Amino acid sequence: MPNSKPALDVWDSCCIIGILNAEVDKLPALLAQTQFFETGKALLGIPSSAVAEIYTLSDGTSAAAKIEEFLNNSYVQFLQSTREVVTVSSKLQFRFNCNQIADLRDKAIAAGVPNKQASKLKSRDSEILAAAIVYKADRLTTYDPFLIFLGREYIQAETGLVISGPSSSMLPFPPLGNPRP
Amino acid sequence: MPKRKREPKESKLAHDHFSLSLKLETTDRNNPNVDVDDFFNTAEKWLRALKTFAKEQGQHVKWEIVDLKKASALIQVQPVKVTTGRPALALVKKWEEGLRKIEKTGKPAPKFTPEALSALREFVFSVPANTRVSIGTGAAAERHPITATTQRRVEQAASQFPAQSTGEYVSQGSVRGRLAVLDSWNPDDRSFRLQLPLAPNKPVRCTYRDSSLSTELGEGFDGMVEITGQLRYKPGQPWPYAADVEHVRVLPRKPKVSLKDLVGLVTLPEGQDSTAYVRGLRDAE
Repeated sequence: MPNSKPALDVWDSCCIIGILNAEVDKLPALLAQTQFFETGKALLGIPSSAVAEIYTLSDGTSAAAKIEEFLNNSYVQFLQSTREVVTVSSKLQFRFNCNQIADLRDKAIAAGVPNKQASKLKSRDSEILAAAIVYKADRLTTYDPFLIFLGREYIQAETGLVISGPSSSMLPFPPLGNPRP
Repeated sequence: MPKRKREPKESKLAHDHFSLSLKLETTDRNNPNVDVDDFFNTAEKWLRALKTFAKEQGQHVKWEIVDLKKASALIQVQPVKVTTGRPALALVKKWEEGLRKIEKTGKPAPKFTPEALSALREFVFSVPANTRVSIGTGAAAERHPITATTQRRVEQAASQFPAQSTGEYVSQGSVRGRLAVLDSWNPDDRSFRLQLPLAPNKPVRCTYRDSSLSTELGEGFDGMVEITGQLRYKPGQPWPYAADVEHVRVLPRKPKVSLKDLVGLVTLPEGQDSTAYVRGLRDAE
């Protein structure tokens, strides 16, 4: 039995939806991760709430069957909202609120988070963050500015979880069309 | 801090009476060295089991290393009473006697509380692949290997306590893993072990009633499967330790559809990008 653990890269739904929507600014970096998943170096973790958002988008369309087949890949790990995840999620929501941290909003805006998102961590976002923390992910890949801000300001130092877009040490080469200098 | 008084002739032999040992040996002839992760993972679980046992006995002890042989991956520890600095001989005896009783009968030993048994269970099920793990008293004394029988007996003993007493909970759900050990041919024990990629040293013990599942299990053996059913969790653990399986789905051994195949399958409304689309969904809640 192999006892070495692959890395766990948790993807927010905007990553998969970005691929489905063929977003040119996201595709190269996201698709470059395939090699890590298909060679067993990393697992693609998808929290159950993110799965729901992907299904909501594709349900009833011709994309549904292919997405279903993709999610059957053995390197995809569904991260269930267990009791632990729900508990951590509610604690995160309570903590990351400008009522609890007075300068949260100002810091978030200064970091580039849009005004209307900067006051608190919303329930679906906190569920995804909680899943990444509880399942001890190596990174949470997202394009959400507030989650990235929380990662840099608080979460990475406390838990080691890296929250960013897919420009990590797991990505050995720059995005296509942007050659290394 | 109280200083420990040394006995006049606290010889190696004396240590053997007061100490417990753990030894790992690889069964791989081509590579006789024990994997360092395997050693530390197993030793950590063993020590946790010893500490839980001591705590449940109300013993305030610390565990000291009295011998460590890297060549043979052996560690020998002894409990020392924090207040007096003297070895806690009785604790070692109770542990050994209790463990042997459990191994022999599959029933909880008097000194093993649910918490102590739970920690013992976690240890005996953490045996790494291709490795023989043995435990006993002292370095010279005979050690007993952890075998499938040991695991079964400890499991039997642990199952005699109600799950609620340890804060465990059950939740309906699915989990994916490698179908590792299959015992579907015994009608009294329809079970298999699922090795989780992210917790390879903590296989999920899966039981099932529906004998027709053995077809999927045969097909999925040594490959990845998704099981669905009642998953049993310990508090603070993200992955289940046991499952009552209702469905088994065999996952493809090679990817059929990759991320690249998903490109352009959907067009978001009004030229939105995925970040704005997801934000809209979440803000609308």
